[in-house]
Amino acid sequence: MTPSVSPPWRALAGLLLASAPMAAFQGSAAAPVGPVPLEKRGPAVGSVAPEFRLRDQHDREQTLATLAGKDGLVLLFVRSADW
Amino acid sequence: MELQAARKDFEAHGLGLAAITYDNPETLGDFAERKGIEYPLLADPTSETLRRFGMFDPDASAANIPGGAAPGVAYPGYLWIDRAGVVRERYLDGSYDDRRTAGSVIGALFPALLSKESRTLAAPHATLALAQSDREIVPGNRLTLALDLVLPEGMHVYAREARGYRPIELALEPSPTWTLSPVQYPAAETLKVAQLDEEIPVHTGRVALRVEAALVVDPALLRTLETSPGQRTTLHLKGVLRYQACDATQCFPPCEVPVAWDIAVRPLDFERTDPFLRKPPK
Repeated sequence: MTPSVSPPWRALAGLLLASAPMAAFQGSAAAPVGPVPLEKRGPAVGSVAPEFRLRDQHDREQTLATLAGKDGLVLLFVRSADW
Repeated sequence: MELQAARKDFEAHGLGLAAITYDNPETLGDFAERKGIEYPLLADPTSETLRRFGMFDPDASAANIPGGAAPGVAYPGYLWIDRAGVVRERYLDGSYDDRRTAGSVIGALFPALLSKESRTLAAPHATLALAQSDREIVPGNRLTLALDLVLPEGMHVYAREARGYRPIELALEPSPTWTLSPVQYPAAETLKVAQLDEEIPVHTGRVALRVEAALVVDPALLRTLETSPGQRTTLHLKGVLRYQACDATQCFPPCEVPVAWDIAVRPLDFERTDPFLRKPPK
């Protein structure tokens, strides 16, 4: 596996985190919350996914029933639409 | 947005498409408007749904969360959930620097769609079709490359498991630009050779090889993109296919065919939403 290099904003993040106003943020970072291994993430194939009820970008309430086509739903998990 | 284009392929196959983030609905509304996104973007500002799905990333370190942003993001990945709520398939990615494209998910769910737009090359005793899940990607994307060796009736090539023979092999040039998966070969058939009292693993018909290639997020590449005309560049992923074709009466000399995929690359998108619409840091 070739090591990847962080995009430029990560360097910026490092700078900002070093400053005083981010102290509370650093506190939460220090909590013992190691990353979850890939095989322990997400519901298993064949299991029933948790139900959900969330607002979309138009502030409409959405559930599996409102989003699924005849054969279901492809749900993409992403970090943020902002950064 | 790549997914906006992929939506019609999902819908044509009876699947809805939605994305979930920890942003608030206002941030998502602004993003959708700027990018022309019509599929639902689901807001999970408390990250509660992410937690229940086991997709909550607890890493609040600076390396994972950029300055000023709140922790509690989703791990990257795709789930296919049927109407009864059962998870039918899942594609989870190790990190956002190695993330499967929607095109690659479509190619995995519906293999026929992957070869829809293939390039055909002449090859000894066969035809070669090259295809790719995406024409254009950004650094950190992982796409699927497809190579189908199509053999005429009565012809076979040796499979990887065929000991003492020249098996089929796709060898891609190693490159610091790409992280490549091992080549996926199809399951072999068994050829019974009565005269030799031997069973040999072979392939016949359409031999579908697949490789996943992730474009490394490299500062030099990002700089190249910034200064390229139209902020686009094209990368060429090259390799060679080796095989030996045989029919019922004879085996032809082993051969090598050079192959290459052209992949357009565009820069990462760093555009942010209006500061007033941003999720407040925690």
